[in-house]
Amino acid sequence: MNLFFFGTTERQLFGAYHAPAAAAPARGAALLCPPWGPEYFAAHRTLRQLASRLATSGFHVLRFDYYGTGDSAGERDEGDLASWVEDAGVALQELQDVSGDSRISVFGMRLGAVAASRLARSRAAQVGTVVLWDPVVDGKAYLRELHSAQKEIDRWSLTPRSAVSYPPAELLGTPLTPAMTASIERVTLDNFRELGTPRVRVFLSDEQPGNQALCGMLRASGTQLRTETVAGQTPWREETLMQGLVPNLAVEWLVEAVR
Amino acid sequence: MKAATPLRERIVRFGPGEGLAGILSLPHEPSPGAPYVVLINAGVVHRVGPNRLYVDIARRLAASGTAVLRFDLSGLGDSEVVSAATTAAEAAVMDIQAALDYLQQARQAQHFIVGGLCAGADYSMMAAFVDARIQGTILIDPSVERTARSRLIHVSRRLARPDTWAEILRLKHPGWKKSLHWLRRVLPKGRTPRLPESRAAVTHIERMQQRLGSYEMLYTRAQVAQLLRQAIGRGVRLFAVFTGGVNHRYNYRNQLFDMLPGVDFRDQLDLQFMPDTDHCVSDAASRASMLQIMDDWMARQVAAAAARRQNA
Repeated sequence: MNLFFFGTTERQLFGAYHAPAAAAPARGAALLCPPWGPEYFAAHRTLRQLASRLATSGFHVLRFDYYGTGDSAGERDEGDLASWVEDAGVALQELQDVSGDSRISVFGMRLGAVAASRLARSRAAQVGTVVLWDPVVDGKAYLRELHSAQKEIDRWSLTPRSAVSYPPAELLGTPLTPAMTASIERVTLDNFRELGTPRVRVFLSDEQPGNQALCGMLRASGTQLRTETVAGQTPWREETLMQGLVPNLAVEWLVEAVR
Repeated sequence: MKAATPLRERIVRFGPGEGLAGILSLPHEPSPGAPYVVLINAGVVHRVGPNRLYVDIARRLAASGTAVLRFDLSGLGDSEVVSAATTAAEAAVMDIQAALDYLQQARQAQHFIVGGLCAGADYSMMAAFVDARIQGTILIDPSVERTARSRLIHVSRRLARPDTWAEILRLKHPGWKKSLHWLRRVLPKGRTPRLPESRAAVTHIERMQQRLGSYEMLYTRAQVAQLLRQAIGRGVRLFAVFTGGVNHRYNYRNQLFDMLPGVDFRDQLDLQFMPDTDHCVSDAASRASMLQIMDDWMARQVAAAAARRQNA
């Protein structure tokens, strides 16, 4: 695994490149788009494991942090979904340069799936397969869910963080700027229409109405769709991280699904 | 958009087989003789720290002239499993010493301040107990024992809440579980109320998890006091922050002194009590405040080091 910085001096991004195993057949390249805020921290361990397994099976893999997140430059309150898609585009180019592959599989988890799908639409010629792991298909419902989690924490806290009004300035420890709020609230099923790529894989950890609608929409659009649903494969949840768990069923299915 | 100063950060690898990975934040204008700061993982969260706390600390201190290494302990984040130690605490201390060795050899660093949040604070203090190169520690919500006064404050706060009484009446309050445990210890065998086996197993795991990484795992309170006296005796300086996130354990400013009445901290302890922020100092105002206080403390360490050099 090679850790490195890329992008411009003003917008330095952090990346972790996993080279394909020498003994494995060449399978192309995969870019992993992480989730947002509290889900980012919890998912790191699983994304590393996914990258490692993909590399073992023959993929060049790049993990990266969006500007204002992780080890990339920028402050916590900088960035929104539009700038994430730009960052993912820079990472895509970097991975193409490193791997020499012209078509990349783009993975996205939760809000990262939104960035991955927008990237696929804008860079159709460069994206081979789009892989969505529990994508956020309703931004307003997603924020309400996180806000409910914050309120539950606050119920027992002497230091409540959630504002009475919605949206709060901070959610589960991550600043929520008006720009970020607006960009998340605009996320709907339409985000996943006309992805521009013939192959889509969707992994779901639970049955939600939006997920079924997403799969129905993708099937109707004529994409080569494979889906799997296994309950509890939720690495973005804090409790999964604290238990030191990696949802291996999901990881193995995803590796197999993009071969 | 804020005007960004270009970062001066380097990826570093060190330790057995160069299996440990970290990021070194370097100052544009280094303070002469400043110690290197090394940040240790908070629990299992990778080196960026919970809610990116370590990135903020590293970049703030680097902007003021101090180099900061944030790295992943063996098996965490982007580090490989390199340690053959038998406990997490032993492995952590070995990894910390590997980081100091690297900075000594590659950067000619002489003195170090080691710190972190929660388990990262505990491991930092453990390393300071055994490694004389460590001149100071940054301890954010380290493991602490309750005192009679902190228990009283905690219980009275809880009893003042209607939610607590609702849970008690619904038999859902954790106090019921603790009471059963206490009864099992004090009642003769055979008369002990029994928890279902599955629940008892979970309870055991929970108790073990609470102890992991804490001083209780390795040291008694008397041993901690003795080790602290030795560390203070050789000049180790402590920057300690207690947040509202641990108010169930630490809930009044001077609790540390009540916990360790036999320890004379001299003028080597800077104690900050921040009851209005959470465990990860997440909200912007509290984080800015803590970073400012930490930055000021670091400036005093640099000045003191310069004075010592002059005297020598």
